Amino acid sequence: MTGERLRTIGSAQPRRDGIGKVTGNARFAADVELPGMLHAKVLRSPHAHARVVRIDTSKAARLAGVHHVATRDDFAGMQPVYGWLIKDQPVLAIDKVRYVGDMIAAVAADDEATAYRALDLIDVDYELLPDLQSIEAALEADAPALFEEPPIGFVNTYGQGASAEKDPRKNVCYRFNYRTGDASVFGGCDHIFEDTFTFSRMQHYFLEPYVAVAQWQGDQVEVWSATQSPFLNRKELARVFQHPEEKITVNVLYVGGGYGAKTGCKTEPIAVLLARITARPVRLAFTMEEQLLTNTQHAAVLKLRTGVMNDGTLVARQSEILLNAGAYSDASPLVAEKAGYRIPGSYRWRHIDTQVDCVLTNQAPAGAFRGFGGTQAAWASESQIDMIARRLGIDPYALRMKNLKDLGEAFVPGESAIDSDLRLGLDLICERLDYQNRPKRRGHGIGLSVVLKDGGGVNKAAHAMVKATTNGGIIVSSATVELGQGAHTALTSMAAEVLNCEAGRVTFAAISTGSTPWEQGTFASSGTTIMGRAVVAAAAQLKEKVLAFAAEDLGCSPDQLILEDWTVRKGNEVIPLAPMIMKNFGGPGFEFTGTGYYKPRVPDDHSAPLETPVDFWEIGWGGAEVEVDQQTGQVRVLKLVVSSDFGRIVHHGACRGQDEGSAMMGLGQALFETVLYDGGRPANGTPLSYRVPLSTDLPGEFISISQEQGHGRGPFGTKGGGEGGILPVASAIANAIDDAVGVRITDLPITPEKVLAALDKQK
Amino acid sequence: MKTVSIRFNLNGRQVSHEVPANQTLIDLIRRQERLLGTKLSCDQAVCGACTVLVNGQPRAACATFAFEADAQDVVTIEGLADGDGLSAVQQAFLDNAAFQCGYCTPGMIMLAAALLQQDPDPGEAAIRRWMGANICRCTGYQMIVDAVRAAAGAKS
Amino acid sequence: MTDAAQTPGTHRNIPAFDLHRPASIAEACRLAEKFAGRCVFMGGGVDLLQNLKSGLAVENLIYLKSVPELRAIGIEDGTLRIGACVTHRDLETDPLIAVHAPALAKVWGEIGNVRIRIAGTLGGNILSGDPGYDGLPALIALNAVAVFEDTNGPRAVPAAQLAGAENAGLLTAIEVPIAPSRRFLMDRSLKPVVSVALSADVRGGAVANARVGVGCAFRIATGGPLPMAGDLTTADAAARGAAIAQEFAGQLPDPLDDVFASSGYRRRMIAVLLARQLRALAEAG
Repeated sequence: MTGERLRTIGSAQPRRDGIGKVTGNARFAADVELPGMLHAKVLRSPHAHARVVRIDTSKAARLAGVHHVATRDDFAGMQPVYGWLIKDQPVLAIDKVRYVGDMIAAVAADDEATAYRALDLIDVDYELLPDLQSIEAALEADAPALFEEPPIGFVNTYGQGASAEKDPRKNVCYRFNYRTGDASVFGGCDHIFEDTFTFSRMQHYFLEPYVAVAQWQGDQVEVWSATQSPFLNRKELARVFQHPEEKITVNVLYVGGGYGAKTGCKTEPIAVLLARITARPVRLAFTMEEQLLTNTQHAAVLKLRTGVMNDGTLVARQSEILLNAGAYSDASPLVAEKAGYRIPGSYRWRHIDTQVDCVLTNQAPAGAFRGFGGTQAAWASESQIDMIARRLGIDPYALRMKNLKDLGEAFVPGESAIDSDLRLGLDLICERLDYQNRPKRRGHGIGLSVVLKDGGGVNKAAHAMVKATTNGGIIVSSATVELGQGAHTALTSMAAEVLNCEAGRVTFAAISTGSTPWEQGTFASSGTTIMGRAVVAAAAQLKEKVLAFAAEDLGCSPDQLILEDWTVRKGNEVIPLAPMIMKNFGGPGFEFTGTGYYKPRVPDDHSAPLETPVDFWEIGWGGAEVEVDQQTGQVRVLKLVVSSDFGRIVHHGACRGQDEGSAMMGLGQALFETVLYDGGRPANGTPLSYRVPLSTDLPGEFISISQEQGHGRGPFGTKGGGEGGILPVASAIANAIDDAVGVRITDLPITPEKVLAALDKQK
Repeated sequence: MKTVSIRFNLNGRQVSHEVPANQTLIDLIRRQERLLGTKLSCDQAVCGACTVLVNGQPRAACATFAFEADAQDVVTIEGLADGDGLSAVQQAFLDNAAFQCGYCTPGMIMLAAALLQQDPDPGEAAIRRWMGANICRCTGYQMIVDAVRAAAGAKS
Repeated sequence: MTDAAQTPGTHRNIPAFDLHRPASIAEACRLAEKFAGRCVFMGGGVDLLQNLKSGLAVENLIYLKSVPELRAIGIEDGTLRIGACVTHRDLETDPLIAVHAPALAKVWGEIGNVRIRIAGTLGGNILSGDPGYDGLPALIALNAVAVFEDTNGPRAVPAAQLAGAENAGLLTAIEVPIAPSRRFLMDRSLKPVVSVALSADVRGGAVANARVGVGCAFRIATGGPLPMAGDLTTADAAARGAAIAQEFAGQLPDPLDDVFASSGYRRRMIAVLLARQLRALAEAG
């Protein structure tokens, strides 16, 4: 498959979204404006935990220019709570507020300035409650319960070895367990190492704000939203408003970054509520401060108990992971699944025993963040592997090489096989870093990391349509959102490949749930392989129909014809299709349509732990070369090398960009980026104070290697990507610091002060 | 005075406006001039997504009053194109896929254009320093830096 | 400043105000007197726009970038006179400063980022009150003087005493003593934890008359003369420099303790960075 020369896949072509984005003509939900549109703003809780006793909106409602002030009093006929598996987040506060930033009321006004002034006029009486600002506090026996009554929700279905429980204990909304092998093998280990790691919390910091424009006319609801999941949102809105799904339309344009945060309802419920009440279109956009309060990555505490032999053979790993879910569950149950599933890392084990708890706290909700549990797991797993190597006196490279799973080896019993050669990738990293010849100079070190995550989602179905106009223009219709990851380029390229036409003749249709075929949402690095299969199938069906049409016209069999640049070749004859179509359909011409569908199968014996076998394995290889300033504790990253295996690259720039962007997020997390809480309120929740990486933070040398190992099972041999880059970076840097000065930092970010304190302790 | 009469050059044409003193340049550009390429993001001059050129200098339009544009030369992303074609910087960003979600891209391109106007042959270090004024969350910056170098090479 | 959770900074919050664009310092001062208590000055507006977006109410805004004298840079009798509305970018690129105070140009070229340097003025920076801004610690080290004017005339305030000078009038210029032997360094590598500026005479490998400015570590930038008990030379720069720096850091009040760093770490880093700068100056000769 890999050797085969393809026309479009892998070729040098501009990204499909390129011209729009470099000219400023690309349009986003943030640009949408409807005539008569009102502007909404939200009143947010200044308290981390409180009962909402009384809300007086009368003064606000009387302000000139205010059309409505919505509160819990406007929920008649609604099911006003939403969430992924657990429906616990209220559209607006009902009985309590559970974090600083929680939404209490929403104003729709002629303009934003008026809306802001109206917020100031809303009077709220609170009854303060003790608040929980850490996982530890939330798990204490006398901790107040965030939810007095457990919210409705469900537990996912699992296969062999995996299980989950809802509300196993107070302030834990979901628990995931995975077990394989026998715990008795711990007894035969030469060493059992117990280490605890703490993972920090970042915010996605996408640049296009959360924004939705909604209108409700008669019984038709229409929403333009910066979302990754139009169909999930439509379903949620239908349930919340008790309104038929088919009468709700969600439209998505280009989205200015998401990294997971824009999955599930965020601004939509309030925008729709206000649109219904005011009978006007309503725009609700969050500021960046509000964004920082809406959804974040999960902070976590990971306790690893790992049994090994003297020769470095890994035997067993028992893990207890506590995720800080924040005040509402959002994606936490799924993040718990994935953190738990990924904690064994890229290695071979005889026994795995994992438990992950989603702990509710009075902080901003944590949800889907690039890496999705894999970042947390990688931080712990790849740090501990290194620590174990050093304790055993084995080179960290050698220990990894000894235990890495083989290409073709099942991840765990019943699971799909690893589809990358992990050792090959690690050697590529080491080569670029000249690892084997690294100078043994105190203060200078190199660290490695090899991380694995399941890719393609779970039970993720995809549906696509491909159309061809009279003149051979191709339109791909799919609900995969272009967030910047290059999905539209990948999918149009696949259609072009199947239809044997110029890539430039393929466009991606606007996404609208009324007309676009269904898919779950744009996440889990699934666009290339899952939706890719649907697009390929749709293009194939289209091709079949076109050839059948041409064959009938030419009086031959379709398999005598070759489709090429909207002509059919029959032997030496080249017959253009456009005139043939005009001849057969008359003046108006015609448009052919093909549809395609893909869904992974659930094995009859439920042997796959997550119900459907993993579609592909996303690997993140990484290595860092650092210099530690032993007087200040500052860590300078001289060289950062990251690599992913894309199986077969559809677009080089898109693949490289995803790895590098992902890796820089990891670098920020490793060294400085984090959401800081001071009591219940964010201490650095403004653009000025929340530091994200800039070009001046680039490592001295930044190298990404986009591999094409050729084992991908996706269309044309592809594997998905986009999350690999972030996974290895933090642990690679921590490992490099250990290599440089012999200190081990087990929590993030690795600040100079922490390093200096560790160096002091060493003396 | 609560409103100000301003006259300035916007993307090569003279425009006149009667603006409230407290109106920002980004508001005038997007709402009145209907040029939507300049994006509003952090609204605090931190991210630079709203970068436009005022007399060739990169400025955050969200942190510039409209009245400050009076008698100045303002260029937005829409004004960068070379007739029907793309400017060298835009072409370089396109050719080098130096963008992903595209939201920071207009501001990033304006910032880069300003650099090359003042320093036609910047090295890697100079580019990293200059481009450090704007935030990109998607690309990890190296491809942007590479595109700016390519644009410098193309122009020479 | 209102709670970030309640009133995020947005340009849609900026209140309506009356705009005044004086053409001279005298006119600006007259306006300030006329609207006393009901006006603000605007230079680059970097801080002001932030505050307006967060809800600061303003009736009259006196725009200063239209006053030519405030953008002037000149040298007279060993004093560099910088107009208060000179931008950081002006300082970074000015030909006069490139010749007579190149170290200043170098440090100013690293303030913030290029957009901030283009918009922001020296005056706005030092009057901001933001403990993280670089202007004030730098000027304290440089022994600079801020010149204010009102309808009664000019008044000079040493940089180190700027904190209490809100009502001193219109800041018109900053005066920096310069000399060929005067060196200037600023280490901002540990921001937002601490920044250290050092200025000294360096003649024939001896460092004398040193002054330090410390930023980020206290609510207000602090600093002053650096006690050295005799010139520092290349020979004893490493050892004695460290001791001098240690002593200086030790006698400072308790630095800030916050989410970014502890008080102890800040104090320690002041000593480390200052020692490195002393050594660098001594070794450069």
